[in-house]
Amino acid sequence: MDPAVVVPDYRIEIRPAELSELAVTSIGELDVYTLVVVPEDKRKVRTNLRAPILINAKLRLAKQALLDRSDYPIQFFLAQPHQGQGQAREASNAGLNP
Amino acid sequence: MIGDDIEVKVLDLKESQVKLGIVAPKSVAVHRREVYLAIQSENTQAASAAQIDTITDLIQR
Repeated sequence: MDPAVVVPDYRIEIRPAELSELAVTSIGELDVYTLVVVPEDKRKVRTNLRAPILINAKLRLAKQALLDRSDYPIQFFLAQPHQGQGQAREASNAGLNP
Repeated sequence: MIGDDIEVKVLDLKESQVKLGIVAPKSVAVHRREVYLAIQSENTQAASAAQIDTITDLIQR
């Protein structure tokens, strides 16, 4: 999914070596998506904000990055009690980071 | 030292705990194994058959 849907100010940094692997010079040239896990229990539907998929659509190159910043959790639960409160949702999820 | 530019430091020694620090150039990715494993596990689950009922439910909301 597009992570900006759940974290509107989703920003990532990756190493220059990773940018060159994808044959770009800035993150702006890449499409950024996150994986979604859809288990039976819909309260546990979650997305991995810590390891986004970066895609260079033009050259058909892609990789999964592992971000250094730890405030983006591996399990960000989409079903939150505080719907529509971006900051609160982010904060309440921060503690779930293993 | 590991190679020419990676340094392993003992930051702290406590009873049965050792705290290690890795000093490496910015081009080297250093991550904890638990983080790797957690991401692998999420990847596998994301790739396994999604529960259609859950998705239908989510779309209808």
